[in-house]
Amino acid sequence: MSRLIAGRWVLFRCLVTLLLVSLAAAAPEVSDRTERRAFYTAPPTVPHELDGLENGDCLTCHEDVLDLGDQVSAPTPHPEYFNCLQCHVGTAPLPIAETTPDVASDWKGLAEPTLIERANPKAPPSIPHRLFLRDRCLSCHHPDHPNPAQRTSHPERSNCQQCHVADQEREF
Amino acid sequence: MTVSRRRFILQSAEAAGVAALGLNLPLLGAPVSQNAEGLSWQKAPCRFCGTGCGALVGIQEGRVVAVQGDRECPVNRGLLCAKGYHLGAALYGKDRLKTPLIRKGGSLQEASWEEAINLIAEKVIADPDRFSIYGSGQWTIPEGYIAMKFLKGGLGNNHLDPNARLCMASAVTGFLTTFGVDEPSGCYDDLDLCEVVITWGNNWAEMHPVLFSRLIDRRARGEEILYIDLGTRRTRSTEAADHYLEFRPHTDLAIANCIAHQLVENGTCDRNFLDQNVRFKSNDDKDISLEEYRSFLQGYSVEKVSKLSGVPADQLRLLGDLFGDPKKKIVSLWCMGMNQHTRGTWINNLVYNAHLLAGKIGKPGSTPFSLTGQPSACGTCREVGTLAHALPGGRVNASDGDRAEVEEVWGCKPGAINPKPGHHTMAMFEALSKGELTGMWVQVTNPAQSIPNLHANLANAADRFVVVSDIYPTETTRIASVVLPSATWVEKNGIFGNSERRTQQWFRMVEPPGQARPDVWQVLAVAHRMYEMGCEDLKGRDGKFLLTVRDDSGNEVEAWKWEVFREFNVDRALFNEYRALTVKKHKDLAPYDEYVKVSGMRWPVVKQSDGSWKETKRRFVGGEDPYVKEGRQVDFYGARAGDSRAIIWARPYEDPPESPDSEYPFWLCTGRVLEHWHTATMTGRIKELRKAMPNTYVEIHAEDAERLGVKTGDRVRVRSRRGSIETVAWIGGRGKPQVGLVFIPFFDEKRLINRVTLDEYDPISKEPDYKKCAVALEKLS
Ligand code: SF4
Repeated sequence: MSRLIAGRWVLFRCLVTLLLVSLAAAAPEVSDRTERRAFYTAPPTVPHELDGLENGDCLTCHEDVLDLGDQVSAPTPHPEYFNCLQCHVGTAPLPIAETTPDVASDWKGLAEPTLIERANPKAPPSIPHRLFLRDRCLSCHHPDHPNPAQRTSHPERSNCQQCHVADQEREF
Repeated sequence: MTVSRRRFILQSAEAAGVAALGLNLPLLGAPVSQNAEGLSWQKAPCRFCGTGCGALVGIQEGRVVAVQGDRECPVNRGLLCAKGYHLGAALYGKDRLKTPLIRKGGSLQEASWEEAINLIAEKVIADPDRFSIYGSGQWTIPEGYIAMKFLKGGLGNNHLDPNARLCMASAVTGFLTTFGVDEPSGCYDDLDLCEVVITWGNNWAEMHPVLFSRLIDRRARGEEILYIDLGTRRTRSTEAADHYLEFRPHTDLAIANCIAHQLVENGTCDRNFLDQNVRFKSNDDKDISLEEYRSFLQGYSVEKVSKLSGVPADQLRLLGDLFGDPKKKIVSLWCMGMNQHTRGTWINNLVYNAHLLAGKIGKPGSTPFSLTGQPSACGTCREVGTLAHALPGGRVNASDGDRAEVEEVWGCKPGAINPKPGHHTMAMFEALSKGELTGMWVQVTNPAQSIPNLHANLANAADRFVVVSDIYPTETTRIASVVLPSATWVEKNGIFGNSERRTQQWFRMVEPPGQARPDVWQVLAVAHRMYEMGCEDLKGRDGKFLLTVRDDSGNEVEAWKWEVFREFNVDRALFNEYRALTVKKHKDLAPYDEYVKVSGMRWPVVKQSDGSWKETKRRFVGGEDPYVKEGRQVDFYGARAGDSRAIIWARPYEDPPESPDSEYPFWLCTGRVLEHWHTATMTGRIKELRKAMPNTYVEIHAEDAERLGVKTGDRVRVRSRRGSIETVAWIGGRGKPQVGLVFIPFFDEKRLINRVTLDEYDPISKEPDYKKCAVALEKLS
């Protein structure tokens, strides 16, 4: 959307966005991936309020890593998709959330893979998920990622799929 | 992807082969792939909205563990919305109904299937003419079909209507009056080709999110699209719009006529198109000339309509100019804003008028397109025809010929089907309250939360014999005499039909919990018990059980027995029987096995000389629709007069039945939010969705809020002539209503907004207006 509006307006919205997000101080540290995903590869839920922000605003913070000191934004692996709120739901806007939902469920989502396949013990690990919506590898594998298991040790090498193969049959 | 695709088709063909032998499909019928973790994937359409996204369902150890978008499905190309991704969790709420319940001494108590089926059979036999079925646009095609055959072919009454009456009845009557046949000409592909999109009171960013992004992602790719949003409240969709045209509620009627006025007065109609494809009619159904139509339009000049609607004149001219530009490709979209309208049929007609006058229909990228809310409102309610006046394949009860054809296919005794239409939804609940109906079977819907003016319309319902088939306790199970635990989505076989005429099939992938069983089986079991008890109604013309299911060799299958039902694909048998009824009005469907191989096909689906089956992208369009006459670009062959002409109706603006006044000074509009589906029976049990949207609220314009001294988070009472609820105010939140209008979503069973809404309905479609009534607001301390 920012494409459509003047630069000053963009700057203003950035400031408003930052303000809103920092007001939504509830945003916790990224510690537990699974807490924010109903199953492995589910679209993560957003740990702050979304209403009041506009659709295009998401990329202000999530196009690339944005380090605010106490908070680090998660960059999107698919900036070409514009309608973020289609898949990512937020946290209930606090003033209107009257009830603390008690959701009693037996749902057990697909677990994170524990075993990463390699052709041989020294081979580069293969990619355990489909690449659709996730082909911008550094978004989730940048060297500062909060989850050490996801960090790449060699961010300077940009052609990831030269060595890491994706199982084309994967549906997730 | 080619590898898995090939594998998918191979395995599907195997599965189809198994089915063709009349054997059951293996539980995991057609896995797309299976990996080391024992995870397999199979296709199924999403259970929620009428977009009809193709999903891949991940199954591990007999449970759904993940849901992904199917990249092979042309509807969604790999994407889903938040509801779709979280659909798996809808099956696993702790309070799933797992055993039949019968009300004894005031409370619902566990019972056996045997006891429940006996009780229902006895009650129906005792009073078959006053028993009714209230179904749903979430019925699968076989579910709606068997319920209809049971009631209309068996009991011989027509008190069968779906909740789709509350959602797309006006779209149906709009199509029927303009084109003579139901359902759209265009398809989703037109969203990829259009230059202008106009939404008429439609927040598709939240209601049909995958279609919304199909459009706006084109912008991200650098394409120029003009998006015009007509509404009474700013929504997430409005954020993407280039122009927002805010109109006073109900004046959409005048705005559509104003477009027509400009086209006629400016000489920008497509005269060639009109000469060949259109007739004009007065509101009282008399043929009129273009000149007479022109004089009707005199009341809808830009100046007059601007004054009435509150839309600035230059914005109205923008619409007129866009329609008048012969080069512009325009798609109009709408859903509940136009359908839940006391003049829903008229406003549907009027938007068709604008497209017909401008020749913007039947061309790639140019079409009016009516969206549906439910996953099979089209497939089941409209195509099977599970409506009080209808029979399968576009037939009606009132026609002798139609009834005879259906009796033939169903094997009923001649004359078994009653010519007199049954009660439509609103009349049905009134009759139930008054005792004119003594029983009702509610399937896949929750009327005790969704019927307007609840208090009046549900009065005494708890005193009648109400059977409710559902998967969780709801407001409706609270008034039930018998509750039957149902299987849902991939716990059973199913077939849905979406907004763009696409029919999609899926197989059972997991077992339903406890004793839950599919609704198709429930109807078969009750019907057969009645047959065993000697009920003549359930005997066909050969004296045998009317709902007999047969395998491919014509042998009877005892499908009313659960152990047999589970092992036999009853959906396939019913669908292949139903197919024979779809051809008359050119809604041809392919055999069941064809749908196993693909992510749906759009009807008419016609067999080619090489034996393959071909879908139709655009109906009525030469070169695409096989039923269009040779040499014609467009052929509205459904026209009742047999002249292939669509009708342009001179429909006037009319005041709404209730408007704000000094006592009730605000408009109330109701609707949905992205996170929740209808009454949140399923989505309210999904942690991610419920946490994102835990309860309803009332949106108030900032100026109104200031006048009332209300701030976000304050508690407010919303009161109409019918009832009131208390909820919490949200100002400048997700939606921003116009001054003088408030909005409340209806998903919250703790705050039943339908105690407040109006039960006036469109006299043609009988669809109530949930979008407009007058309320007062009161700040609570
Ligand atoms: S847009 Fe509709 S069909 Fe598609 S995933 Fe969402 S709810 Fe399901």
